[in-house]
Amino acid sequence: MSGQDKSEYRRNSEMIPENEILREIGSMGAGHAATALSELIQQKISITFPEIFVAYPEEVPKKLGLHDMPVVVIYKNLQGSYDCDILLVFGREEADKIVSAMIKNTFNMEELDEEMKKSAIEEVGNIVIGSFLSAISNFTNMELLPTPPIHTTDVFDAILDVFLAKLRLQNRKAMVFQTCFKKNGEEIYGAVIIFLNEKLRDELISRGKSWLEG
Amino acid sequence: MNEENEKKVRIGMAEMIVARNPTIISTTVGSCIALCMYDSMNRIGGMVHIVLPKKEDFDKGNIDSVQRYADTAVPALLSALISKGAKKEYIKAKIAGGANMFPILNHPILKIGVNNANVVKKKLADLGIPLVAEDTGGNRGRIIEFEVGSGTMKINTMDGKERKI
Repeated sequence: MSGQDKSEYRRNSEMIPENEILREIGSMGAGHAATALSELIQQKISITFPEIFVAYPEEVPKKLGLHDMPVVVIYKNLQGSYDCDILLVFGREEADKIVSAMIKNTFNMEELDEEMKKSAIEEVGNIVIGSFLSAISNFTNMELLPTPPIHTTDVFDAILDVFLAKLRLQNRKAMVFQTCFKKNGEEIYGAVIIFLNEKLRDELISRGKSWLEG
Repeated sequence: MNEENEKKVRIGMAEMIVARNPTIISTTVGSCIALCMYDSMNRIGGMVHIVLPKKEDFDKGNIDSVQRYADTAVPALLSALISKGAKKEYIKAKIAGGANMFPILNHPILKIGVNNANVVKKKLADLGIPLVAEDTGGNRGRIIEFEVGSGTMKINTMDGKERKI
């Protein structure tokens, strides 16, 4: 939903659904990320979210069709009272595609060693996650300082384990943005997964409501 | 094992199952622990997927499942096996998991894997259940299949390695 649709929400509901606030953050984040990625590779990349949902974390691998599948995850965390974990996830083949899309103009895939692939995908993660964080930051007027990106490749369910252990302590749900990167007609799918703590979630929803109603 | 009658069941976080041969129980763990116990004389075994070390440290209100925590899941699986006909003197244990999936990070919760494994081992020792094999630690996730009759755990990691304990 974009800013001009705000009146629609004022008309339709007193309670603005959490999902719509997320969608708004997503669309801001996608806009920032697409611009930054396009500038980086000097070619137009667009980002859309075919699906956005809120789910229990353990349901996420199945919902994304990545249950027990090898994935590449780039992870950043916000520390302190607004603790929040954000992951960008690609199935292994999609990860190769995004790396290739990022560096095709500069190198052949065959010339790339693992370190170069790793730093390319970390950069994508840095930009995409950073853009989501700026969107959250814009919404809440808070300065959010994330950790540098960390990258790992493993079975999705096993990677989520550790977040589930952490989340269990706060009974949090995962907000999932299935993400489609488009470049020259090629579509590459990944997902942004956000685990907000309650304080940040409440802050977002209350600021989001006043923004949408404003 | 009769392949036609063989049942396959999968468990998720904080779930536990006890089954008779022929059954294969599977799960996937990162920092979590798959604790398997079996009585090969009576051909019965079970698995619990443990998430966190000590219940009292995390579940202040005492409202959560005992199966989620190492110190309470070990006796829970033992009782479940005995109630289904296993004999304590024949029961053996094996464990896998407890990885540190993000070794580079320093957040205490991300090192939970090692604590999980330590608490399980301590509790098994307290209860007098021999731990006959383990595949713990490292920084890889594990896809696990446990044959309840033989007590064999088949462990696959994403680097393509398969081992049996």
